[in-house]
Amino acid sequence: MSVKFCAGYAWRSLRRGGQRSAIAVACVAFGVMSLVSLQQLGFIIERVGLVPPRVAAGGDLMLSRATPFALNEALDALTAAGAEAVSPLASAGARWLKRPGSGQASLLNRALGIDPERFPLYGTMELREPPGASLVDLLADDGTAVVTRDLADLYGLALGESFSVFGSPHSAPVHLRVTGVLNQTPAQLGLTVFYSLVTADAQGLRVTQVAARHSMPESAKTELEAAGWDVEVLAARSDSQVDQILRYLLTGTGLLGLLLGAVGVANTMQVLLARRRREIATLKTLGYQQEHLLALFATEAVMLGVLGSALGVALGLTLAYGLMNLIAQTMPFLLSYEIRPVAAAGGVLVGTLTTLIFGMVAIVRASDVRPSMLLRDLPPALTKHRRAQTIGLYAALLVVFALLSSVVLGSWLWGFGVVAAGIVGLIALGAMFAALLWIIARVPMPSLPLLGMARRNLRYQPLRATFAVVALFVGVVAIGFAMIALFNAESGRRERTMDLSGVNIRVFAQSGDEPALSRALVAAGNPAAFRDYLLEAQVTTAEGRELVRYSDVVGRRPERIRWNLVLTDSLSVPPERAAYVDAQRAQRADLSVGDSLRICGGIDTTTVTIAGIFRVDGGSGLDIAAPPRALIVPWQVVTQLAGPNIPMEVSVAAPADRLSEVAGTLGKHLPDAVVIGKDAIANAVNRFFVGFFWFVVAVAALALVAGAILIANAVGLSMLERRRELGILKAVGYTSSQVLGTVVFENALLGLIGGGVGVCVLAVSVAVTNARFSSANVAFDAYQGLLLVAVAVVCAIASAALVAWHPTHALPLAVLRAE
Amino acid sequence: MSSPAVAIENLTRSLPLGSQTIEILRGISFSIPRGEWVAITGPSGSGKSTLLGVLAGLDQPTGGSVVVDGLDIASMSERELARLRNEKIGVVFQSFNLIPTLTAQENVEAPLYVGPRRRQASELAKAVLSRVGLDSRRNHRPHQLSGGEQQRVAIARALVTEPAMLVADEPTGNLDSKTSATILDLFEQLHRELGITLVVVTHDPRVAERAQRVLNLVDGRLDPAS
Ligand SMILES: Nc1ncnc2c1ncn2[C@@H]1O[C@H](COP(=O)(O)OP(=O)(O)O)[C@@H](O)[C@H]1O
Ligand SMILES: [Mg+2]
Repeated sequence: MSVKFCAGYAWRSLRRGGQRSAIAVACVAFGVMSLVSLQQLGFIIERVGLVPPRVAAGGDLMLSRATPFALNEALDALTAAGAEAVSPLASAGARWLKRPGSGQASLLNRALGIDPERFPLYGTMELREPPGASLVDLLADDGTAVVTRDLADLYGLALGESFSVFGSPHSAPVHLRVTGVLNQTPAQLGLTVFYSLVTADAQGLRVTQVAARHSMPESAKTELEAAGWDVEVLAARSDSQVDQILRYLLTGTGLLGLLLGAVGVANTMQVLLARRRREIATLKTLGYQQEHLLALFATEAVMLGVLGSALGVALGLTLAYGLMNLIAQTMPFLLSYEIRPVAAAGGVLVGTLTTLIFGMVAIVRASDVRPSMLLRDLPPALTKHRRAQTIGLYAALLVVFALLSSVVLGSWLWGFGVVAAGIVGLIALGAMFAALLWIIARVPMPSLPLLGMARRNLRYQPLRATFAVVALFVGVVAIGFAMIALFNAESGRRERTMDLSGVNIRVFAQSGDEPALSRALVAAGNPAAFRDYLLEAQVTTAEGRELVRYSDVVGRRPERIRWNLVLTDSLSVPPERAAYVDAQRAQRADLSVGDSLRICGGIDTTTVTIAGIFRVDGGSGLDIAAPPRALIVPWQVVTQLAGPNIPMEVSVAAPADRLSEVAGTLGKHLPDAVVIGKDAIANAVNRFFVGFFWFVVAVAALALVAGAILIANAVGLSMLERRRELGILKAVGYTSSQVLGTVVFENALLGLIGGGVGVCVLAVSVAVTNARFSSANVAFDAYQGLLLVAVAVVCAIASAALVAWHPTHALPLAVLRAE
Repeated sequence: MSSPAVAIENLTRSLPLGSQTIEILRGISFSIPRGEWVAITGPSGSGKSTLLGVLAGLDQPTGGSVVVDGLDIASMSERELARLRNEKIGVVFQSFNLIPTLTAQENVEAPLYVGPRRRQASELAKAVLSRVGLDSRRNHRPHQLSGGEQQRVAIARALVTEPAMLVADEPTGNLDSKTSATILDLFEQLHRELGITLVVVTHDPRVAERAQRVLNLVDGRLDPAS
């Protein structure tokens, strides 16, 4: 038999298969898509997660000290301890980035001063632009910086743009200019700015940490700690296997998707070939041997597989890219997408092999037909021993599939585990529904004509009905989980929508900016505001117990705005000496109203009396209006104790509808201040939730498609096999609508059973989740349950009616002939 | 050339049906000399198709011996039977059974693809199609052909491997009387020109009367009158 004939015959048979071939291709494509996309996603995430801590941190050990130190001091200590290489780091703890002319500041992951000749000790810095440049050249000049690509893209920081980064209120902004954009950092961490130590020095930033490469970091640690240094030793390898397990889970889920598609293919091939039993018998009559037939049909399966897999790989890679971008919105990582030709080809190979493996049952069964059937009218029924053989064949093929899965996952345990879990689950479901259907078919019920007919069919075709109900059940559960996830993600998103009223802008400035601030407030339309002056001070009780050390004491200058504080206790005290203490801290330090406190600031010492204990009114950590405060004193106390330039936080309550305008005006008038509007924070949070939401939508849509394909395939194919029966019903005098009525009723019944049980399972798992995890508040109500059952019923009826429509409306003879 | 084309001795064929066994052929013996045209007739359900199935190597007997062209079918394996069908026997059915995706030419070539002469498939098929008068229909698909033309393609396909015997089960059963007559004329022409052994099962007397000998099957036995 020539290859040309084989291929030509297979191709034409596929085209003749029409809809059914398309269904088979769709099944393969779906399976391969889920495998490839989830595998790709797993690789992307694993790459971030598998960055070893020493690469992430930049060395084997990290040296620092609580008190300031000179760089040479640290370098000498490290050299003495046997470090092989060192890399000093000057971190300003910057959290905000601002471009001149732009009003508001944006969130930053970190800003780090590095020595470009020595950084990084491990891993690489990968530049995106300018092409061919080196880090050393780019950071040579004072005030130059390279930024990660997400910063460049998100905040529009092109080469040559200047910007400032801001850290704590006590440190001055660092002014920088973009000379390069990084594609990748060693830790794959995004939203990061790098500048040189020269720049850091010029802006008054000291070296705070020194990373070092060391072959025996533990012994160096002991030695350095003895000398008064703080040392953190970083592992060479990530000891947590969480990310690897995540990858296994993702790929395993993908494989289950493929298994689902494969069951669809097995089912579809079954019908494709069953319809061709006559043709196969004819080939046998002409002297074709078993191996010839296997070659012909295997070629067909391979063609289906290659077509479907290629489509699936294309879809899967696209999907993974989309999902990665959604994840990137929710995580500050520089995820990178890379199409691996080997993985893509592997997807095609695995998809094709799976198609072949699962088509094999159909192929072997179909080529088992006896040629003498051509002398009779009816296709021969499969005998009992054939059924046993089929089960054996399926078992063998599952083992082969498990081997394939093991190769894909690179682990025997996981490969066989995933397949075994899938199969055990399916068998358990099958047994449960078979029992349920058995009961429904036999329990005495009122004899309604349609019900009686449906029950008779259940009794005579229990396997077919069971398969359809299992498909309906799995479909409903998949769709249900998708729906629940969607509803909850959506309501979560809506809940995060912030209330923009009240205090909605904070300005971090210096008291030297006060004249500019006043002008800015006037220019912004004079919104209500209050100023807090921040003081680094030591606070002790009258007995000498220390209450606060080097922390923020707030001098508050009340203006035309109410403090967002609730006093739990108060006492009348002269206003210029009145202090207010946070309730938690008061309780911890056993303070009450009337106690006096000694505050030792930068240049002076004074005593105040506790006039009130407060707690912050409402607000979470996200709430811009409620920064945590330990101790609030009159502003004059702070100005008396601190030096001339005092860090200042201004809380502004702008009209909600003019919020961004007011924030913008303030920002432009105060180039050296950080202005943050609640709307910008809301946007950042929103971006996170939108990304998360669409991620859930994408996964839900996948589950939805899987559910629909499964239901349509199982129900549609089982109806296809019964077209002849429908023809006979018509031949004995049923009208079209009576026949269609039976079909609709029967499948509605199946939809009701599968959907009903599915909804019960969903409801129970939601209830269990809510009971187990007190923070979980998953919503799933009766309407959604009813909707799901309706979806199952409609899906079942639609796919059955679609297949049954033609045979119920054609002339009976045409249907009987068509077999 | 001394051995007969077919020699059947005490052939039985029974089928298990539930707990019982139904006997379809109950001891049949006859032989057909080479080149003879035999018709097998009998009422519906008498076992004609079953007998033909055994003769054509599509089915195996329960008992007795069936020797076709000197080879005993009863003791053949599945593979040997397939080879026998490919090389020694051509079969024509009532419902044509052409492969719908293949053209007339390809349908005729199909048996050659798995036989020893696959290289000459194209010329051999062309020659046979022209013999059955379908030169102009070579590249048509079965659904583009009339019933009579489809049956001609089926006959060409049965003949293309130059079998020792051509067997046909109700070859005119799906055709109108005019077309039936032309198919019978074709059989006659082939029998005359090729000297092939021809076994035709029919319940139509007009078909039976063209044969040289008629075997009448009644209830699984040969009517001794025939
Ligand atoms: N596979 C089968 N199962 C059950 N009964 C069969 C089978 N094959 C043949 N029969 C029975 O054997 C008898 C002979 O059939 P057949 O050879 O087709 O008769 P004919 O071709 O003469 O009409 C019939 O009664 C038929 O019902
Ligand atoms: Mg018959």
